[in-house]
Formats: sequence, structure tokens, C-alpha cells
Amino acid sequence: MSAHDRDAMYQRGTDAPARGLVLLGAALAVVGLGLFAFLLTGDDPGRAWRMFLINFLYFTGIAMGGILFAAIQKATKARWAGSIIRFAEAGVAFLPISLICFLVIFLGRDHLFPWIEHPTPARGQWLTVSWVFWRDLVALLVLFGVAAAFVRNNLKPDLYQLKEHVSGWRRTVYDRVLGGYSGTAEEEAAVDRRLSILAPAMILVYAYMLTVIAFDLVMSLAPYWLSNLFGAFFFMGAFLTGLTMLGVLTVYWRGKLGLTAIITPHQFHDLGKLVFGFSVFWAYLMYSQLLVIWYGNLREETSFVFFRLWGEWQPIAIVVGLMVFLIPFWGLIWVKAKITPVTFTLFVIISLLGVWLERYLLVQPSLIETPVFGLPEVGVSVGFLGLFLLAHGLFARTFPMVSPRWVARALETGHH
Amino acid sequence: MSGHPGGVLGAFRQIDAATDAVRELKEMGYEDFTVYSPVPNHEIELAVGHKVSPVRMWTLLGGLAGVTTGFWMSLWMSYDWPLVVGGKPIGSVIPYVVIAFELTVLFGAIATLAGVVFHSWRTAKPAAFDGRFTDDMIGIFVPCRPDRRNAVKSLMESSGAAEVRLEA
Amino acid sequence: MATAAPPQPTTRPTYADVTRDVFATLGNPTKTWYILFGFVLSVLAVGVIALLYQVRMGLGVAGYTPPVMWGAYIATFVFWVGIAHSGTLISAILYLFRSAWRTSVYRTAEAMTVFAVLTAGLFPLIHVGRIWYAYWLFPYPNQRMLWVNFKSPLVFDVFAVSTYLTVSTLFLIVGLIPDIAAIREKATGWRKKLYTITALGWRGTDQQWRHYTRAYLYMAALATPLVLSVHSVVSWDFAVSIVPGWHATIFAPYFVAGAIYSGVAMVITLIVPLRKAFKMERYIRVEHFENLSKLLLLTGMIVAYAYVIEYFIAWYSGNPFERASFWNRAFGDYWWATWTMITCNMFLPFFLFFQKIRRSIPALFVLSLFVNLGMWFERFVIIVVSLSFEYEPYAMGHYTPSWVEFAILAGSFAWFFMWFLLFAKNFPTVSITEVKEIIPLPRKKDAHA
Repeated sequence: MSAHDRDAMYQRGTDAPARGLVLLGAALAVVGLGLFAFLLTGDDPGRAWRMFLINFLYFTGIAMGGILFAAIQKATKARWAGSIIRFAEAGVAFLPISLICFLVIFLGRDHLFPWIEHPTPARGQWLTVSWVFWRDLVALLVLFGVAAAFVRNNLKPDLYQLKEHVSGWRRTVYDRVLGGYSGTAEEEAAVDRRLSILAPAMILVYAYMLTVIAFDLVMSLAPYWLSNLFGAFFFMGAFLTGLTMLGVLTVYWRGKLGLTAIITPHQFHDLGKLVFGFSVFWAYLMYSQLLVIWYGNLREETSFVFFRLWGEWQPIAIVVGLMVFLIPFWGLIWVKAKITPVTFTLFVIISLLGVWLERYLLVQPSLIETPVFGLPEVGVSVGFLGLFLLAHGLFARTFPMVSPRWVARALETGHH
Repeated sequence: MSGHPGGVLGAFRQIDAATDAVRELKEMGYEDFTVYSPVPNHEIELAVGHKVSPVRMWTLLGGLAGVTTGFWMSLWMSYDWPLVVGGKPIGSVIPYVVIAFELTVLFGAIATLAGVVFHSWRTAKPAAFDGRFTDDMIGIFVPCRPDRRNAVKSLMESSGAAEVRLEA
Repeated sequence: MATAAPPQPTTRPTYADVTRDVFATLGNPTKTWYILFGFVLSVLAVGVIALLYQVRMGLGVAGYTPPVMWGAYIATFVFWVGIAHSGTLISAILYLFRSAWRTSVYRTAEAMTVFAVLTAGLFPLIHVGRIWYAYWLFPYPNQRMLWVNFKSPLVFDVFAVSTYLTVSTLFLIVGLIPDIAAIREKATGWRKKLYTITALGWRGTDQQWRHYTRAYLYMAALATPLVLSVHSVVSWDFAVSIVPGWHATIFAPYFVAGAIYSGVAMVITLIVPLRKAFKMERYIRVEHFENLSKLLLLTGMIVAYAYVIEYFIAWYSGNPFERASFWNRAFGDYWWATWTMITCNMFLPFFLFFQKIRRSIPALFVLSLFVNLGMWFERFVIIVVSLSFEYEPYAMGHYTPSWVEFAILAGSFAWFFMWFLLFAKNFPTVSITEVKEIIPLPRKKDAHA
């Protein structure tokens, strides 16, 4: 590879063309959220609020799942995903939006939480607006704080290398993120040490904080139902979406940035294996929960599950099972399907949409009798997708999407 | 009788020497040589260039047989003497998933092993062998007519064999 | 970071070194081995005598007190099935993830798996009392052509445990074949004959490797979900009932994590003395222990998560029976068992957050013993304490294991170690082939350098 190619790749990796992404994201967000605002003034604002909650859960899960993947890869010292890890870490840009959305949700609380109108005596103070609000706010702040600290420390050495090449507002952001980091060996070691604490901490808070969110914002919608696996089911599903979204972004950026030299079938193969594995794991958790409830046959447990698996919601449940488990299972079991970008993208997108529908199925039947699906559902979701793309595009405009350290390393090993 | 056809047996220490020899042998038109290595090695695999092992079909068919047997057995036996237990339906698919799954794995694993045994047996060729090939040397045995042996011998030596001997 | 670790040889072993060093661990046992083996056999004899006594006298000699009709035997069954799990995890899952560090330790872990399942499999038979009717467990119609009840998780157990025993044995044997071929060339006397037969004609030809490597991959891919399923099935023995403290959806993943947790601890317990006795310091290095301890930490954290969630949901449910059951666990008659379990499984792993501990072999050894203790108590707490404190206060009872149960428990350890000792002296406990695989073969240019 010539020096020219090298510079070109370096340039593309660190200065991603994301203007289109930002504009598209902004347009979708304006349309979708405009529709949301319009629906609130209509005769069924609850319908819009439910979609708002579902999409908040879904996209926060995607953003956090990606960052969790970055943390796991750090903690296990795995190297294969080094060239694509920033696409996952970019989820950090969605977290402030997510926090605002969380606050917004509480404006629509009367449309969402049945325990406000009919308090559940068994839960006592636990399920009251102020308790749930503050508890979840603290949980999200802790979770997002650790995530932001993790990504920030991961970015520091890269930004230090690049800060001379950027100017204007980017330079200001870089200096702010670097916060006095001066690239000495001691500081580099300090960053490594901090990351080695932050990575396991990230894994721990991910599990606990998302459990709190799952219990409070999903399980409590059916106030008499409980399942102690539910938290794990929720955050493992979120992790799966983090992986599948990473797959989509990898395909996108690989084409956009011309990174075929450093994003190879190897990355697709490993990512495909992980998506395959966690689809199976999703099915396993789902089955573990179902089997225990099916046998126990206790009224307060079965209502939640059977209402979704039989009757009017059954078609949706079947589609979820197909999209999250069966189709990706039979699709991604083949090596060829994993390493061919077209089929890889296809199955990954199916899984990604499948989990969206799963989140829909977790929330909606607790609140309404019969499924509704139409423009409001699609519109609000598109708005959230716009917000996600906007955040992702802004991140890509600001920060290097491929670590210059990785480009250098990949090119070196490519020589031999 | 030595139990194998006559030919040339080369022992290699270096991996690239062995793969060079394999490539040259293939260029010369030899097909039925045998390569020994103490560990599975990707470079040798590439040089020899076999197709992917058909063992995977055994795994797949074994697994499918297992899942079918599992569901068939549990359902048929339930209906053979219908007895309501715990208020559950006679034939309940939800719990029988476990039986079907376990048999999938069991049959799949046994079929895989049977596949290895079968295909290794079918593709086995009588060939000269040296104990060092399971220790630290890579071996290549080329069965060939006596008049060609010297050419093969010098080929192996020039590609870097540590030791070459003629086997009657 | 190397300051805490003892000095270790830094040169890479060659292929010949690996074969030689591992072969040196086989052969005629030392005096220490005979003493150990004798001790193990005598403990086993005590267990067997206790078992025969129970067979003669009936299950009354065990400490069963209604309503606690599942006691130490079932707890020990679950314990040993759990021990088995890390072996398959290390050999199959880490194989799929291509972790190089597994190569030195996986054989020991895998052998441990087989022997642990072999031990676990005895306990349902011991527990049912009339051992001679054990074949009733299998789908075999009785005189009235009545089949087994497929809706019973106990029947799942029969399928899961026998599949697990079969598949893990096959996996162990498949992994052993190239190794046996390697030592076949070095052995003499009756061992030569043994290895020649058990190597099954292996020579390492291109065709053999072609089928072998594929098959190994698929076996690993099958064994991975099998590991998840086996302990899940064991957990459903409890979770599908409505006993407070048992009926929990989280049981399956929680049991799997706990199983791997205890299994990794047992691997550490076994490998520390083994490495010393077999002088394997060159192959099993501090890094291996550090990686094992990270696994221990991860699974320990999952177990801790499950404990927290279980207690939380028991409270959250507002169900008086659930609440009482969990209160009884922590502060009732068996508080000591619960707190042993919580201390060993939830608090001690926090030490593993310190790299110093993760890299200190004596500390890890001690910790692994505590984890094993804690995990036995976890099963005891889940099974016995939940049963002793069910719905009706007039039907509550207190169970204490009798001497017969303790003797059989000790005997099960002896049985496990007997197999392991026999294995360690006759077959390679460190994989020759896989350790070689991560060492690059020499190239032409190396010779000139």
C-alpha cells in the first residue's frame, strides 16, 4: 500500500463525511416528532405516548448495547473489533437525547402508568410517580455517566493525535474532551488504568441500571405481573440490538469510508457469530421465562405471557419469534451468509426490526386490548430513528470514526 | 511386505518448506500424496487444497434426526397411554422442546463422530509413516514408480526437506 | 505487574519440548500419588459402605424429615453437575471464540467435566433408594405399557444428563486422539499397546485433519448450547413447581452462571497442585490463572446479580409466602447456611477485582476452595431451606443430613478424585496438540538467522 493510499485512508477514517447523515436525521426527527406533537393534540394522545416510551426503550437500548460491546471488548482484551468499535461507541451521542426523552415521558405519565390511577397496594411506595422518577433518573445518570467516561477515555489518545489537524469548533470540542491530556507515557498509562476499571464497571452498571429501567418502565405497566428474569431479558435484548445496529453501521461506514482494507470478512464473520449467538440466547431466555410460567400456572404470572402468546396479539408474537430467532438462526448459521455483506445486512436488519417489535409487544398489550399499527406508530418511530441518526452523524462529524491507531496498526500488519 | 506402495518419504522441519514441496508436487501432477502434520495447519490446508469436509452434512442430518425423534417420541408416547398429569395437555409441545433439543445435540454429536470415522476411513490411503510426524516434523509421502523416485527426492530436498528417504 | 509473580521461563517451548514435557507427566506414579490414591480409595470405601447400608436398611437412614424429602443427595447432584459445566465452557465456548489461553487448561477442565458428570449421575440413583429399579427412569414401558411422564423435569434430567455425559466424553476422546498418537511413539511396554489401540490409527494425515478440524468445530458448536441447557434443566427441577424460593423465572440462567462459577473454581483447585506436581509452570502460567479468575469474577457477579434480584422480587411481589420464605433463608433456622453461601459467592469474588489477587496462585487456590464450599451451600439453601418452610406452618420441618449422607458426600469426592488421579497418570492432562498449535512452526528464514 502506498503512502498516498495510507494518507487517504487516514483522512477518511478521521474525517468522516456525515453531513448527509445529519441532514437526513434532522429531517426524519422533525417529521416524526412533529407528528408526535400533532398526535398529542388529537383524541388519542395515549397512542403517541406509548410509542414514545417504546422507542425510548428501544433506542436507548441500542445506544447502550453498543457501548457495552465496546466495554466487553476492552475487558476481554479482544482485538478483532478494533477497527469497528467506534461505530458502537458513537451511541454515546444519543445518551443526552435519551435523557431528555426520559424527562418527556413523565409528562405523559397519566397515559402510561396504570399504577397512578389504580395504586398497587402490594408495592407500597415503590410504585409512585416521585419514587419511580427519581430512582430511574439516578439510574440513567449513573449508567450514562459511566458510559460517557468510558468512551471519553477511549477517545483521548486518538484526539490527542489529531487535534493539530482540526480547527474551529472541533478543536474546542477536542480540547474540552482532552481536558489537559498531554499524551505522555504516564498519562497514557493512566488512561489505560482508568479504562480497565471503567470497562467492568460499565458491564455491572449496565446490568443493574437497565434492570431498574425494565422493572419500572415495562414490568410495572402490568402492575401485578412479575418475573425476576425480566431485567436480564430486557438488557440482553438491548445488547442484541447494539450488536445488530453495529452490524448495519459497519456495512454503511465500510462503503462510505472505503475501509475494505481494514474491515474485512473477518469482522463480519465474528460479528455474525455474535449476532447468531445472542439471537439463540434471546430465545433461551424467552423460553426459560415461558416454561416456568407455563408450569407454575399462577394467575398473576400467566396473564402477562398468555395474553401475548394467544389471542389477538398472537400474530405479532409469531412474527417476533421469526424475526429475532428463527430467521437470523437459519440465515446466519452459514459462514457464507455471515461474510457476504448483502446477506449479513439483511439478517441483521431483520433481527434489529424484530427486537423493535418485541419491545412493542412488551409494552402495548399491558395498556390496550387490541393491537394498533398505523401511521402514528411508524411516524413516532421514524422520529426516533431520525434522532438516533442525527446523534450518530454529529458524532461522526466531530470525532474520528476509525481510530488512527487502528488504521496505522492494520496497515502495518497488512504489509507482512 | 511393508503394507504400502513404494515411494518417497520426506520429513520437513519448516512449514514453508513443506508447503513449497506440496505445491511443486501438485504442479508436477502428483495427486495421491499424503501430508502428515503434528497439528492441524491452515497453510498446509491451503497448499493441499481439499474441499470443505463433508462432515458438516452428517452434523446437520444428525441434528435434524434428533429433533424429529425427540418430538415424535415424546408426543407418541404421551398419546400411546393418554394420562392427564398436573392438568396439562396430554401432548404439550412447550416442555417437549427440551427433549427434542437434547436429542438434537446427542444425535448431532454422534453423527459428527460417525462422519469423521467414515470419511477418514474412506479417504485413507496406505502410506509410509514415521513417528516423528506426530511430534515435531511435517511429513510428505509420495507413492511413485521406482524410475521417478529420484526426481521426487530432489524436489523435496530442494524445497528444504530435513530428510528424504526412499521406501520400497 | 510481573513483580508479584514468581519468575517464569520466558523462552517459547518447541514442539519437541511440548511432547517431551507432557509425556514426562505420564508413566509410573510416584509415592505421593500412591499415598493419595490409597487415601482416596479408603474414603471411597467408607462411602460405598454407607451406600450399601442404605440399600440394606432403606432410605430411612438418611435424614429426610417431611416435608424435606429432597436433601443432601439432590444438593450434591446439582453441585456435581454444576462442577462439570466449566469444562465444556472452556473447551467449547472459548474454542469458538478462539481464545489462545484455553489450550493449556482445557484438557484438565474437560476431564473434570466427564468425571463430575459421572459422579453427579450416581446421586439420583442413590436418592431414589431402590437402585435396582433405576432403569425405570428411561423411556421404557412398564408391564402396563405405561411410558415415563415427559412433562416431568426429572425426565428432562435423564435426557440432559445422559446427553451431557455422552457428548462430553466424546469431546474428551476426540481431543485426546492426536495426543495419544503423539505419546504412542514414545511409550514402551503395555502403555505402548494401550496408546496404539486408543489412538485409533491416528497419523495426522491431511485427510484426517480435514475431517477432524471440521468435526471438532461442530462438536464445539453443539456442546455450547448443551451446557446452557443441562443446568437449565436441572434448575427447572425446582423452578417449575410453585414452592416459594423455587418458582423463579431467573433460575435457568442463574443456575448456569453458578455452575460455571463453581466449575471454574474446581478447575483452579485441580490445576494448582497439578501444575506443581507435573512441573507444568512453563505451560500453565500466571496469565492462565488470571484469565480463569476473570471468568470466576464474571460468573460470580452474575450469581450475585441473581441473589439481589431474587430477594428484591420476593419483596416486590408482596406475596406473603415468598417474603416469608426469603426472610427465613436469611434469618431462620438455616441462617448459617445462607450466610456461608452469600459470603463465599457474593462477597469473596470482589477480591478478584484486584489484579494482585488474580495473579496470586495461593490466594486463588484458597478462594477457589471457598467458592466450592459456597456453591454446595447454595444448593443446600435452595433445596432444603425452601422445602422446610413452605405454605403451611403445621407442615414445616427441620432436616439435618445423617452420617450416611455425609459419608456418601465424602465418597463422591473420593470417586471423582479417583478417576482424576487415574486419568492424570495415564493420559495427557495438558493438550499436546493444542499447546503446539499456538506455537508458530519454524520457517526457512529462521534457519538462516
